[in-house]
Amino acid sequence: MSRTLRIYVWLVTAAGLVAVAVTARFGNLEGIIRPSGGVLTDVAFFLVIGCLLDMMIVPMTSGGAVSAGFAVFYACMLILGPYVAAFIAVIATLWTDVVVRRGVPIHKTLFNVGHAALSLLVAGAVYYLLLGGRVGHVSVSGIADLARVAGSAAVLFGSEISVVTTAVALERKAPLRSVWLGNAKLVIPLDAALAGVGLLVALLYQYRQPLFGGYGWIFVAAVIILPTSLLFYSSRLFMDMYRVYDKTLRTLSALMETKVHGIDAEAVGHGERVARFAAAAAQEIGLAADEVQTIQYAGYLHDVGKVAVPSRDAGQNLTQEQIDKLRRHADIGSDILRPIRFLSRVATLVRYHDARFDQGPYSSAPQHEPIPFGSRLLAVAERYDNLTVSASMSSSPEEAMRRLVEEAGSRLDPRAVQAFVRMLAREAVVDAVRCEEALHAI
Amino acid sequence: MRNLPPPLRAYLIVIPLLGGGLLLWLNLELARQPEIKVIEGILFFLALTIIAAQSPVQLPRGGIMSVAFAVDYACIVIYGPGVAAWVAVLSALILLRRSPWYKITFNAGQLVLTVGLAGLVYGWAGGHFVALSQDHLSLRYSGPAIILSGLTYTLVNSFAVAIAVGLQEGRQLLGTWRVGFGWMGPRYLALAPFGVLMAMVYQVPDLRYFGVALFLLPLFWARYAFKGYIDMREVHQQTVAGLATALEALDHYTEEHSHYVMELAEALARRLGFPETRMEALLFAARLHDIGKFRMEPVVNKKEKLTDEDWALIKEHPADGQRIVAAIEIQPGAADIVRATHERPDGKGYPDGLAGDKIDRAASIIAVADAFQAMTSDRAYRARMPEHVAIAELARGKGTQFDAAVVDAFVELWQQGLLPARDREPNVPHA
Repeated sequence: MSRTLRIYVWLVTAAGLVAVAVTARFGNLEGIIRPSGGVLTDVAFFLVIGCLLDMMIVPMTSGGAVSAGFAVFYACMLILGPYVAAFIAVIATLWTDVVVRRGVPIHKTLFNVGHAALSLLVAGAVYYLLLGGRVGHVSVSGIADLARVAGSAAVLFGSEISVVTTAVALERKAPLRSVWLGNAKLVIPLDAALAGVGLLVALLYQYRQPLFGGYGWIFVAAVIILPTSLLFYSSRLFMDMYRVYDKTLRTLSALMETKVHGIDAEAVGHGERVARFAAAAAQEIGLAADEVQTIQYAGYLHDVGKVAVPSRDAGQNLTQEQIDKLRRHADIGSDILRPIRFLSRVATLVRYHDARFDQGPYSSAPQHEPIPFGSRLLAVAERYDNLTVSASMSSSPEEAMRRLVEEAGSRLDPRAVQAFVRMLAREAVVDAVRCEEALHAI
Repeated sequence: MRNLPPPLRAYLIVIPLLGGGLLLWLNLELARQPEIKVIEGILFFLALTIIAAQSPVQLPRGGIMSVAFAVDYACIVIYGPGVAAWVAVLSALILLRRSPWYKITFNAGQLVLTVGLAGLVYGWAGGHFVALSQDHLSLRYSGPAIILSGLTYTLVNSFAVAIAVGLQEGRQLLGTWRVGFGWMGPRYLALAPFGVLMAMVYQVPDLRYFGVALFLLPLFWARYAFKGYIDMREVHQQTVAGLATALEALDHYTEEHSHYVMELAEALARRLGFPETRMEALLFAARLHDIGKFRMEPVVNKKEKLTDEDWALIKEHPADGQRIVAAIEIQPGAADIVRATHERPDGKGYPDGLAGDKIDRAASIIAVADAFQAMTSDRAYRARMPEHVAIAELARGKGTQFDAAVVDAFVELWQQGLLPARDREPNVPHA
């Protein structure tokens, strides 16, 4: 754990714990301890469904996760106030992390507890102090009511996302912006849905008496589990598909390498390594998540055109046909990928991954067409992998980096090399001081 | 409409007529219930349906689904079948306005039948219609009615659509229905409580329309995520198919080979009444059955005599294929089919030496299709056989090398000239 991350985690945790302590001292917790007029039932209700829904955790594609429990915490904040809501969030988070999931490191649990409590108190402050909400009754009949409800939801979920995204970015050593953009497409609609469910829980709970009669809260609890499960289930399906797709491309890339180079070749794994390095470098300079993903897929598949090279027996020299095909493998690969609808942008990157920055003799790019930056990154990553892995060269990472720097401006794009060197420093592959020196040399 | 098969044409006419009849009858019923605010209900639910039905999700083997079900359901419970049927007709007219007319009439008819019958069952089973009842608690006692009408909705809807898809593509009706229902049933069951909750919230005077509209947020997310899933799944299959083609391109004679094998296998499977529920796995396995060959290729292309190790390597290739297809994860069951494509009924096959009934029918189908396509294409060492010679070869291997029933079906198809043409443009397998 880096120092920044550690400081950040402890800061959030401490702020959250202080918030909880303040709650316990000054909040209306005596209402919970010495119940009068059914407060205990209220708390029990939100505690039980809070614990149940908090177990539904949807992992996000760029790291971090969203828990359905926040819908309940939000509802509780509207009905019973922020203090009780924070209290319930703390218990539910402990329940999920310690009892259900087990094995969650203690600092992560404390962090989860801390930021949940913190977000709820902040949202509560907005709802009750800034926008004039009233404990015990949610109203949705006027514009002001709606603004209050929507505003506090935005604050709650907004602060929750920001805190988690920052932690993920620090943990993965990825730029904040790229993690944020990578998740936004999923997190924003999911949080809107959770806020909607939360408001519904609050309203149903509030009107449980006229709606369901005596044991209304049992009905509300039963009735809310199923829709939330649906949310959870469809989200899981979606997220899993991304994982499966990535795995498939890796499998097929390894398969192609085996097919082209034979079983034991060191070349196997080349595609996966190039993909990883190029994507990390793309993330380093803050490219959008879609672009990073395209670069990663192009990394897996950049040598797919080599399947067209007729196989050769070991030890023999290349025939003319094989040389020609090898020389054109980027074009062939691109032609293979282009008809696959989802991969047409990947195909473009693959077409130019072999092109020299100074438009040397092997370039297939017409002079007037700019080579995409993704292709240039792939070229750097491929060069690095060849330098470090291939038996004939096998340089150390630092030597390879120096070589890249030498070639920046001729064979390789200096901007791409810069991004790559920064990534090497951030991932601690090469000593940061050496990287700094190298960057000056470009 | 002219180029559709006659049974389908008849079906496309009957459904709208039935729907129209039901709509008329429901209208007469509506006229007897003056306390229902018909116009208000229709307008509100029409707006909600149109919003909820935006970009419906195309299901993998025919049919679509949208979260509009929850809205339909709420409309039935609140206003009853009459209003719900009108909402269905109007929404079909608006949402499908760019489709051919027979699609619009069919869908309008089908939807009227679905919501109309579901609504009638609801009333018949003692369900309370919220708009008719002053009692807030009315829905507490409508549980059985809610369940029965939800079942009716799902059954009528899935059968109506499955029959249309089945007639159009010449598939088994029951199997098509089971696949469609398998996709739709659980999702509708999960959406049904949304509909009931909407109706409940509607009862609260403070909430009314706002409360009902609030349900759109979670519904939209469910649709968004589900659509993302279906899209990714499609992309995934396309990618695998495209890359598999690229891998095969290495051996010039297997180019497009797997695609033809897949088409033969599909024709054979339909002739044999192979369960529609496993069709997708079969097609995927047929498409990828050769993907495990990469290790044995150098051996096969050798000029000298094959050694025992060479043979061992060859016999492992279906197992390699199984591992790769399993890693692709997307079609459960396809990997095991790939493993068994070189087994023989007499037990002399490989890699497991399975015999008789132990061999999966799907694998037997692929084995026959694969053998036929191999015999009828040119090889480096021999010219292609004429089809009738290949058929004779298959017949000779019947019961020993090939599954007897599968060979019989194949021969029949050939005699009747129903085998797919072989030089068609390859396209990716449809999902």
